[in-house]
Amino acid sequence: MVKLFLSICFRNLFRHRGKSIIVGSLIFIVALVMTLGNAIIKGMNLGLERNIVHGFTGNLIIISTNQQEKEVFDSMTGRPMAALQDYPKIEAVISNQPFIEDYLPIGRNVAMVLSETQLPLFWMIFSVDLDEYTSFFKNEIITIEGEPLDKEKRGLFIGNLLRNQTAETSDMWLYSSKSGIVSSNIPPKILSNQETIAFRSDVSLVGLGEETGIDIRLPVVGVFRFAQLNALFGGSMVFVDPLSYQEMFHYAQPKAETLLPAQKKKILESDNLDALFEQNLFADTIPTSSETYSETTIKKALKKSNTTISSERIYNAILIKTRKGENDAKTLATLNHILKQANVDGKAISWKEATPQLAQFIGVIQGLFGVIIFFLFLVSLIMVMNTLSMSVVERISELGMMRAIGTQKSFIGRMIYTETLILGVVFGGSGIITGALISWILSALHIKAPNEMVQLIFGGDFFQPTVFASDILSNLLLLLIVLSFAALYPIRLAKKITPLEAISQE
Amino acid sequence: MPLIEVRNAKKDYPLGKTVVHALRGVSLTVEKGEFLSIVGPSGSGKTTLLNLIGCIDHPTEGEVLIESKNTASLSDKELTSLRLSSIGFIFQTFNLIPVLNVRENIEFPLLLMKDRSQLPSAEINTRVEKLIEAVGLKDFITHKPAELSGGQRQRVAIARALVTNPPLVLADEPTANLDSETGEAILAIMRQLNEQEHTTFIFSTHNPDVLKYATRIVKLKDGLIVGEE
Repeated sequence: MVKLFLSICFRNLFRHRGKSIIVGSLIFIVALVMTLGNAIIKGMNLGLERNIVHGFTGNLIIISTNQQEKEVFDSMTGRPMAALQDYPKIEAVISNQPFIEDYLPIGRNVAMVLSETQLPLFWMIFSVDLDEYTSFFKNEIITIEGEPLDKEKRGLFIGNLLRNQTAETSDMWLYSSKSGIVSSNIPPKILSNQETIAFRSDVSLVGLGEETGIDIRLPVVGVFRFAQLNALFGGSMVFVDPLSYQEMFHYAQPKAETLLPAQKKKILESDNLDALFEQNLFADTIPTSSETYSETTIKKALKKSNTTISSERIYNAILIKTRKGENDAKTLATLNHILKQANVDGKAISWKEATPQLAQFIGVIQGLFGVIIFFLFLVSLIMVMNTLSMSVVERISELGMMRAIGTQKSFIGRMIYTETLILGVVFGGSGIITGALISWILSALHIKAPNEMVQLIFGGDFFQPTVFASDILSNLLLLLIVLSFAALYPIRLAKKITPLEAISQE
Repeated sequence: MPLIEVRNAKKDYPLGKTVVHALRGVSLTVEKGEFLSIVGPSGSGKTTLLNLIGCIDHPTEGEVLIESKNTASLSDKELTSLRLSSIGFIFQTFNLIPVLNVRENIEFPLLLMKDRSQLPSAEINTRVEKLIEAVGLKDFITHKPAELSGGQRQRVAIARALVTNPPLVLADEPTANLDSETGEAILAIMRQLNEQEHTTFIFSTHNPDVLKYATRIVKLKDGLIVGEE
């Protein structure tokens, strides 16, 4: 019976081969688009995850138990990051864990930039040993001006995109005194506004830490860009030397030469700020921010200048790199359990929790692709449904006669369903395999992203659509499920055909 | 117990704003083993009456009983099962399954039967081969309907109608699309099977030449039985 049943289905498809080819071609296109689209999304997803995890965040992040918000990398709202109170103890715990490949303690907080404009400008400040950082992450930091930050020397190392943003919002172009002003790096928009721009080789910052920090002036030692995903992180990261960081966020006593001159403090304390601003109103030369500050900021800085100081190095987070093949969710739970048992001030969070805006951004791009593919899918399936329905209508006589001689509706339904599935397996399978082949070829071609925006879409430097063998099976399964839905209406139509209709047609 | 009882069956078909009264109150009893012909001009209600007896249509009024079962009380599934097990159909336009060959077309109703497991393959083969031989298509078993003549196709339809050993075979103008010689040959086969197997045949025709085969003739006109011979 099964043999004859399948034989009827195959022969029906062959008999109506014109329609079968039309429906099959549509299924082929749907399968191809679905496979290719999923491969692109998967490639992007894996690429972004790989590049973010291996280039910026690590797999897991340990933050203080006192820290309410989990954002570490892409949020400057809310309260400052709490300092890890038990870093030596935490280090002792994590250094023995077999699933941890490496770890990197970092200081991370927000500082306000003091500038001539009244607009508040905030930077996300990272304090890290740059040598350790570059060996920890695979992502290369390319110094485009000046020199890399030396942990023994004071200074800041700023991302090129953040420098551009700073110039746009605060009319302040930062450069390293080592390299001088490199005109070729100045975007045309800023270059055209050269008369109002202040060229600065140092910056005054006020740390917005748990204990309100101290204003501090730091030289720009260099400007960098990340080799990968610079568009995501190059606009938000500033590295400062460890000592300045400790001072800025009041974790250590500042050195006298980095503080504001006493004369300026006196002027500010007297509330007579007019004199300060007057000197710039009709200035012949471009003012430098080392001599002018926002009133509120400086007052706040002065008010909080006498606070508790720690001589120990303080960190706000520890980035954890897990060993290859480890399950992030599992290691997260294990690490949290270990930290809790050790009774230390630390809790582990996932890299996604630490980068919520980024995760959202990735979600938006993936969602966009998903919506496009879904609509293509939907349109094609409606066409498949339509063509199948037309095919059923053309077979009223045949199906009605089958009903007349005793064929149950369920048999007719199964027949139409099986015919659809056969088309799905043959044409859909071909579409999926073709899609997978195209994806593998595209991936092998190593198409390089022409710019940083495309790098985001590619999920890295190269276009790498990804299809695993399991994807081929899951795509086929998904296609068959969706085709089952597409076949529902034609099946319903076929089941409704009565022998009388067939006779009437004759 | 009569095989079929039609009690005051009426059938109306809406046609736009008017209603066509295809049957206006027909009562008919058919006993087992009859070779009954329903005759009448076009539009007299022959096909409608066969459709009601064949459970592929319902009367607007009245009742149709097959083996004492009122067809109105049966579900679609039960009616379909009844058609499969108790009624064989021979249509005017040789309705065969186009993708199946002669043998498969004849075999098809047996494969649909729920209790087919009780039918050993050997018995299915014997029954199918016997019928193929009876309708004279031994040399055409692998031919598809499109490769057969009108008469050959009708022979296949007869064999298919009889393969389940139904007590009743309905044939709606089985010779209408055949030349007179082939038509007579088809009727001769039907008559022979009726005599050998005691299968009840009801066939409609408006061809007076084929009436000589009938053991009973029911005359229909304007949806009413107007005479019987």
